[in-house]
Amino acid sequence: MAVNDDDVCTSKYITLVSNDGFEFVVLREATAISPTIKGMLRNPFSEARTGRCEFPEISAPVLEKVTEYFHYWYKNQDKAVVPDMDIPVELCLEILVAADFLGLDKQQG
Amino acid sequence: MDEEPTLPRLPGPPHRASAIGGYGRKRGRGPLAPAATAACFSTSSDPAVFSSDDDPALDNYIHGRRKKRYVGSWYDQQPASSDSALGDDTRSIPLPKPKRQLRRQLDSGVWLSQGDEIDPDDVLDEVIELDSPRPRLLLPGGTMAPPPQPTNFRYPAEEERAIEIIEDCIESGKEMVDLTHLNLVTISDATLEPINRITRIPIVGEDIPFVPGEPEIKLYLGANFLRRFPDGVFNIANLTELSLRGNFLRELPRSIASLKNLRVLSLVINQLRYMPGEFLDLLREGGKLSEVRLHPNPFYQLKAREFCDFGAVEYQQKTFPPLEPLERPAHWAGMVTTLRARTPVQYFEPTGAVRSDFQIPEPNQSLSADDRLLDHEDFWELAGPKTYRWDKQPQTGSDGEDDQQHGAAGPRTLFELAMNTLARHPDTERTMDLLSEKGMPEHFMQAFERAYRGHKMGGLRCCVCQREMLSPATQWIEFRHVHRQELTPLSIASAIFLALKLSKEPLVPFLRQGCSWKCVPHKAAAPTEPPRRVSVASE
Repeated sequence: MAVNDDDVCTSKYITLVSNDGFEFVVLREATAISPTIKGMLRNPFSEARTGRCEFPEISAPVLEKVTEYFHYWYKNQDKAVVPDMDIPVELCLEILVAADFLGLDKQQG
Repeated sequence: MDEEPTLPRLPGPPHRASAIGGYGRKRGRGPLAPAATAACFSTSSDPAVFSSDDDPALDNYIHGRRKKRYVGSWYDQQPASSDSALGDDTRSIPLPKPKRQLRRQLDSGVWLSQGDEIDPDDVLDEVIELDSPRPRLLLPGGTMAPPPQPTNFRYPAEEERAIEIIEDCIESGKEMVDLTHLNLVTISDATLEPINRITRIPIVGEDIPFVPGEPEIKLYLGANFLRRFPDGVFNIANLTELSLRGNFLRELPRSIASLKNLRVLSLVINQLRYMPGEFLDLLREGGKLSEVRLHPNPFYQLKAREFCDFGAVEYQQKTFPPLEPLERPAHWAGMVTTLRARTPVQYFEPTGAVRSDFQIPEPNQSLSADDRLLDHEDFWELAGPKTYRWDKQPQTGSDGEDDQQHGAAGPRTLFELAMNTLARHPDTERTMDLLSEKGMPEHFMQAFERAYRGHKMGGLRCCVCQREMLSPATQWIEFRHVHRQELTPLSIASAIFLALKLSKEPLVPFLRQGCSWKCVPHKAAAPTEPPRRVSVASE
């Protein structure tokens, strides 16, 4: 990753880390839907320098689904008719909590 | 290589030691082992092995050995293998069947097993569960929701009476099912389902040709205590007349549009505040509905007594996808509607929070007569939600955006997607209780209840883009006049008469719901000259 000593990370990708240490590399633009991650990547925070966002509350299977959603949104954001993404039933409560935390519960605008 | 499935170990050669003296199975028949040891074992003819015993690998020359015999496939010989892919599968070794005593009757040639002994082969060991187990919900914190408990269900006495009446109608071929005044609070799908078995009994007589006819079911559920529309009604294929007069219905399900054969509908004296917008599918030219009785009901009304209906046609054409035209018989007469006004749009977050000044009261909120009066918005105006950047929107009322019409929804939020999956889960009702015990945040429970209600009310679709949804992102109410129309061309006098008559009729509100903030009414072009005003009578 292109990290300068005290400069912000300018890489096209950022890394999301789950509570059990799994890392997910996501397009930076795709995470723009989440105001929480956008906030984390702003300058005064360490995440902005390293490009690594750690989520001690989110487990790997959930974060994987969230990552999938980021790309799903990124790919479909300009389309009008979009097929729904599949959410496994056993994960949906945890995904709800994660979506609430990451601010993925608001209409875009 | 670790991925490779491990199979149960192959049974070793019958006896390592016996291999010395040629092939183990081909041993000469010695004197049989004592019967007591042999009887204990079913699949294996090996005698019991104890540490105190002589090494079984060594041939026992004193007692001799039974001949080894294997029955069945090789993997049945060693049922328990701790490391195998079968896991801790401890298959029980079937006990040997006792030899059956066969006996025959003196005059019969057939040998049957004796007495009341049951042949174990004829009996299923256990009832095989047919439906696959439902995926269980994982609560936050990793605990599984407990599986649902089966309950012993009995119908209340009122419903038993309804079942009797329905049985009666089936017996006598009566097409009119009268379930009025039964004090019914609910009526289950299973109770109403047999109505489908009612068949028309043809008139038999001389010179009367046989006419195979579909029955025309008339269902009267008036003067009961129903609070919810009975869903079982949708399963009655040939329902032509439905009366729910004098109940306590607050809402109609959207799926009411699927009652295509309905000719007469009575919803008099209920607690309805609005009609579902989907009901308009039945109220158009060529539709079969010829009589609809809706008043009195505590319907929403407009605050203003006078308003403009300019742009109504343009709004209807550009907002909604065109409906499939219905086949119109030459002499058609039926119920149609005329759009008069609409309210502003109410915008929701997926969590259920309202983002607009205008708000339609919650369905479970009790209302005074003043609360039932709603604002209206002209067809050429459109208010947006608070804190919303309209410049990003394709539907801002400018021209040349026809490609964006009828669906500009875009991807749903993750919250919505997960909520939709959750609300469709069969165990949802119990989960809701569990969650409220666990103390979920308030806004979660609200969103959850909204989604669940949407699910319960039947397949909800966005009225603009026709996408399935569980909780709406936008909603507004259209006010329409419901009136009877005949296809014969109206004379000027009768047209004036109709307009006069309608102005005294109360308006009927129809709820429209969209799946995203882009699914909103189309903004009609502003009038160039002061438009005609319409006035309506107060209730």
